[in-house]
Amino acid sequence: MQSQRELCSFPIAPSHKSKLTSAGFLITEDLKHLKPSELSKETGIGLEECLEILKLVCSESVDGSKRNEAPKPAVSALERLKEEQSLPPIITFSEGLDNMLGGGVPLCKITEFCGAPGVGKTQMCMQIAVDVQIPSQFGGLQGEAVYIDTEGSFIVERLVDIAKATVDHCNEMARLEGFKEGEITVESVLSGVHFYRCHDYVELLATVHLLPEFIKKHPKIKVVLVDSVAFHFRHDFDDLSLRTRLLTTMAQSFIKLATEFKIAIVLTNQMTTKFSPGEDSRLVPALGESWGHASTIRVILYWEGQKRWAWLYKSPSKKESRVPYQITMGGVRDIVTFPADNSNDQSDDEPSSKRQKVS
Amino acid sequence: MQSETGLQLLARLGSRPSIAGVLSPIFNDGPSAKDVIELFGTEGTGKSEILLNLVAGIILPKTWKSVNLNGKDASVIFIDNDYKFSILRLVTVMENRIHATLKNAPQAEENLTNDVELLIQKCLSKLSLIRCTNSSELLVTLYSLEQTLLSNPNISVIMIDSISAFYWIDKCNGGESLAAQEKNLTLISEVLSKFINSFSLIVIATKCALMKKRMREDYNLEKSASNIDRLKNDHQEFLCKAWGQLVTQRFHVEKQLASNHFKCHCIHLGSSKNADKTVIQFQITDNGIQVL
Amino acid sequence: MSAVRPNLCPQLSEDVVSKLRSAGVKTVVDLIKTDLEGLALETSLPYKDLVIIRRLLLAQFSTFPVNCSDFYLTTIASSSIIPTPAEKLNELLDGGLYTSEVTEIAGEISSGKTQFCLSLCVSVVMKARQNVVFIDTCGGFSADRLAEIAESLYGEEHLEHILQSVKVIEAFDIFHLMTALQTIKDKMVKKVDPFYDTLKLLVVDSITAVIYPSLGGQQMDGHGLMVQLSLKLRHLAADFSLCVLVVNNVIGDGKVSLGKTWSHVPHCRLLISHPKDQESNVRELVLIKSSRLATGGKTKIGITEKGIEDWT
Repeated sequence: MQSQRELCSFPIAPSHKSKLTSAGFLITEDLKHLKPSELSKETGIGLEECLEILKLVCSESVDGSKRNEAPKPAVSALERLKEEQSLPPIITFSEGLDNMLGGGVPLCKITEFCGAPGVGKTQMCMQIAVDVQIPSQFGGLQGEAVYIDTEGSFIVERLVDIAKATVDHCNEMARLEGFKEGEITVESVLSGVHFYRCHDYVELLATVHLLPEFIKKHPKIKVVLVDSVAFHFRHDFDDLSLRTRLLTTMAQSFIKLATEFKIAIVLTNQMTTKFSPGEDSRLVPALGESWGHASTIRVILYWEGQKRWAWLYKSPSKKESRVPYQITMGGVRDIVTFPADNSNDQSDDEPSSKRQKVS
Repeated sequence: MQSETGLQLLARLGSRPSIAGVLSPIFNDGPSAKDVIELFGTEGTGKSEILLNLVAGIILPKTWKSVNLNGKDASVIFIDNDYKFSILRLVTVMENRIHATLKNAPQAEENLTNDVELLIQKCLSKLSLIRCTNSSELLVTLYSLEQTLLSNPNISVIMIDSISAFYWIDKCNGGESLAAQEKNLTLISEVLSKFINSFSLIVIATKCALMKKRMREDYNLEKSASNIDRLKNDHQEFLCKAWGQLVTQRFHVEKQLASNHFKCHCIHLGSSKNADKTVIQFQITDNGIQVL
Repeated sequence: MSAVRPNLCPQLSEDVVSKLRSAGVKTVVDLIKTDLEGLALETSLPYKDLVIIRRLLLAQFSTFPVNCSDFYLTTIASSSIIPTPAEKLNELLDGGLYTSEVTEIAGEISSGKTQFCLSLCVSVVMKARQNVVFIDTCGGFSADRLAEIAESLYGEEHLEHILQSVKVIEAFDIFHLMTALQTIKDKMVKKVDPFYDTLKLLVVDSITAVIYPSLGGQQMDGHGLMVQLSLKLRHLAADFSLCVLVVNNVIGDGKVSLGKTWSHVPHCRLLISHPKDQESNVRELVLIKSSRLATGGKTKIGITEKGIEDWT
């Protein structure tokens, strides 16, 4: 059986495709025994490019799995289940939220937190950036984080607060369990967050483009956070089809990144008002509906009265559900005390570390 | 000048079975020899269904067990570029059509189910299916059909579903040059034109409305000249010129969302009578096309 | 189609090929359409040889017409209907999903498209005793959820078998997806892997995720690639009697994405949505396109730990 795959179904530049076509090269078989120089002579495409084309086409036709860019071979769902179970999620320090997500923020997936300003999206990101570094003896991932800030809302003092609470908590755990203290310090946490500030969407796309190389050099990275993905795409975009294309391309880069390096991708998104005929206007996540399909897991954060709620809106594995949470000095926490007593969510009460089980 | 063999001469001059009146009133008393008919419409407007009904009418015999089935007893070559041809659907349409006719025929014998099955089998052998995966393959296949057409004078029709199937692929492979983009379809049109003339064939092809000029959804359908103008305006030839010149009749098919009914407008091209105002309404049932 | 290259047929030696190429005959199409007498003069190749080459190439590269009387019998023998887990939905679809067809499920965010696919996977394995390939293009596949559905329906003893009968391929762009489809085709043709001998369902979740990035802007390329992908899916369905299930998005006001060109592709299109006045796990399915059945029929399903099921 000949390999009849058409050359035009390969990622070859359109100008080269038409040159190949007009020189009569149409399927993989046509190129199989050619040298780059011969192909270059026949088509008028540069020698280097011919080499690239031949590499692309011929190595694939021999064995699809040989090129490192080729898709991974098929695996059975059973293997996938074992793999999914072997990847510990990143806990958030809110047990309710973790349970809703099936243990925490999962690796290999895109998790999107949507919410109005002030509801705690940035706090959530910082909490995750810190939590991903919890040492393994406490059940953590002992990883590092990439933090991409597009809005300028990252405040290092807040990160220090959250880091401090987490470090204290780990040290207390260590004391109780008889481990060595000082495995994790505020300094180690801060140096484990790789921070980028992107001022426009071009910078954001460029940063995302360079991430694979960066993560290869820093293999401890377990999470990439983007706060927020919406900011630069919401304004100054007249060409909506271009926006859709850029956003969906970026989404595919993210999911590639997530599965290739087995890391979590956490994105935040803003809310926008949607008017539809015959209905009251309501708040929906920004960036439109085609973007909404991009994230694997979508959590909407919202206020109800004085209480913050997290609503699991979309997930391939978990049911839709809602849990309340609060933001304390030490970061994102469950609401465990009686809600009536806790009229002020922004209270400075220290996280009660005994409540938080990290195991 | 190549000399002609006796067989070739016979095939050229000897008449192929007529299929006139096969799906009247949609095609009136046509199609007649050398017609090139284009069925044009968006997705889900019943183009392929019209083809299936035509096939059923063409391959059935005129009479069977002294019951008038009103078939044409001719052979068809069906080129399925869209990979959508459903033989099961065709058989259903044929079965229902035969049973409906038998019901109204007093002379029909009882319990012919087995015989009907055999009849359909026999009729199906008059239908040849060709599936092509790209425009080059379609072209080469058409070249190879010359021999088939010569040796089988019973073939009256070539159907192509759809002629626009490879439009985008050819467009993106051709690069900047329009001639390169249209090369294959131009050659295909030339071969078809040659077949039509030397064998007095009929070609019926569907064309998807891939490109559409402004289309108002809420127009008011009236049998007026302006309506025909509107349809003419709505159609814009996006395939190559050679194909456009080949077509003699174009049928616009539309679906009316409210009633689930379909409308078919016939437009004769290049004829002096200009706009033919025939508008046929039909619906699609399990039995096939039912003209209203 | 192919270039004119040595060894396509015995008469095509290196020498003949280079003579043909210098006369502008580069592809099989070129050779077939060219006037052979003129070509013989121009290339000084014997006319007789050219006629033989032309005849052999015609035979090799044209598609042979299939007699529909035979085709009918083979179609009946090879086609089957895959029932969904919801009886009312099966009634709507005249039995379920048909082999040789491309079925599309389209819906808004979180409308249950992936759940529908995962449920179908379990159905195919347990009801039709066949295998599934699930191509995941957006990271939505959840083995954990598949296991939950399988276990709550059929118990732990069948879990391993079900999970082993579903293979997952990750392909995050359109080229990887086409490579994956080519690989599947090669495996079915070569018959080296018994898994693929009983492959019946191919899921692509979602088709939109890989097509969107290449569409729009000034590029023609995107549409070409989309059509090519659609043809590959339909060829697989028809040539190997597969049931192909693709997931598409709905964006704003019930409009299915990917536009006119794509809308021709599926034989059957189902719209899944959450009716506003219903509980959160209830979904409505509407048949909005079918090449076999009347459209507009609807039914309700519920999404539970068992996957999808009739809602009463």
